[in-house]
Order: sequence, then structure tokens, then C-alpha cells
Amino acid sequence: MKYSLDLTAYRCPLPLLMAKKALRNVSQGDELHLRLNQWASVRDFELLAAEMGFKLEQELESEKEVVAFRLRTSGDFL
Amino acid sequence: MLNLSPQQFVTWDEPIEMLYACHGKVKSFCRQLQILPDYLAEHGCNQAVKNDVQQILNYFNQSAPLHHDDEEKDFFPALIKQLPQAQAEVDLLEQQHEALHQNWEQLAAQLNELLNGERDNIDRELIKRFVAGYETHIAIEEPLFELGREYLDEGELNAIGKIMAERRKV
Repeated sequence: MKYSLDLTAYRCPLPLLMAKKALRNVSQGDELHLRLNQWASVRDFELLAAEMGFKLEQELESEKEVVAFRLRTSGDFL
Repeated sequence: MLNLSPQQFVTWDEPIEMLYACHGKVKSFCRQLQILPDYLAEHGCNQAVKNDVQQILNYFNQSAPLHHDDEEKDFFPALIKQLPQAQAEVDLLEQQHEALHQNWEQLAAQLNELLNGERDNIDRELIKRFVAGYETHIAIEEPLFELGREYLDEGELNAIGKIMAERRKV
């Protein structure tokens, strides 16, 4: 299942906490596409992904004010 | 693809976690700042450094003042209502917020000059003072977060959490 979550309307640290909550509901094989505003630190999301057994696969778009990337369960990469 | 509503993940039920998350960011940025002068001396101001410095500027210009508002306008008053003996520590912490903001103004000026190519390193003493200020401050503040967990009921936590979440809407 693929999910999309747009967190561009919130400032730090809310997007990170919201993504954490969302990832708790994602199952093996699912994908979560996150959209963040320019104030978000992608590094924080890389750490969160690793902590929760996900991998930040690739940046999907990088506009001036929006960063988007996809998180998949780590098992998908084995 | 299923679009999830951000509203279902807003975390106003966990304001203490939100306060700790802000401190986590501060600690992480302070660690980066401490190694910055040596890194700049060795590698110069490359794109990776510029990206990190911009993140630090973003956080302390925008999110840190919101965090101090969370505490001064919502968390501290709620805590004092339940625990009046915390007043002396709260007074001290609010004074420290002013000093932290002054330290940041000086450091931010140098970080902006670095990004603009107007200087090639940052004053080590300034970083030392900035980091020490936060270390002292956080050591006093985090025990109050724990008292908040203990003494504020669910209704009070939800109420302040909701205001804190609202404060972060762009």
C-alpha cells in the first residue's frame, strides 16, 4: 500500500513527531511518501527511518520550498 | 495512493514529548557547532557546511523562539498552577531565555557572514558561550518537564499541546 502525507503546513518538531506516528501504522512492504517544507531537516527523517526500521529511498522532488521523499520498510531492500 | 490527513497525526496529546524533541534538536545543533571551527579550518566553507549552517539558522531563528513561547506562555504557567514552588526555577529559566537569545543574535550574525562569504570561521568563544548557556539551561529545565508529566493531568496536557501544535502551523 502506498500512503502520502503532506506535512508542509507545520514547523519543527511537529512534522517529525507526526511522521513517527504515521510510520507506526505502516506495514511491511508499504510506502509512505512525505512532503516537507524548506525548514525541515531531511537528516532528522533519515535518522527516524533508521530507528524505526525504514529506509529513506530517494528524494522524489526538490522544489524551492518543498522536499519530498519515500520511506519503505527496510526488508524491501534485501 | 492513499492521502493521509495530517490532522490525524497532530500530537497535542504529547506536549512533553514535543518539548523534549526541541531539546533534542538543540543538543544536536550544539554538537555540530562545537566541531564547526575545526571543520572550517580544515575543509573551508563547502556546500555541506553551508547546508548544515542554514539548518542551524532555520532552527534557532524560527523554531527555538516557538519552543520558548511553548514554555513561557503555556507549560510553565500550567506547571506553576499545580506546583507553585517551581516559580523560582521558572523565573531563572525565563531570564536565561533572554541571555540565550542575546547569545544567538551574536552567533547568527557570524553564521550569516560565513554563508555570505564575509568571514571564513566562527569565533570559538562565542560558540562555547552559546553551547554552555543551553547546557546549563536544559539541565534545569528537563527535570521540570518530568514534573509536568507527573503533576499535569491529561486535560491540561491536551490543552497546552493543542496550543503548541497550533503555534507550529505555517
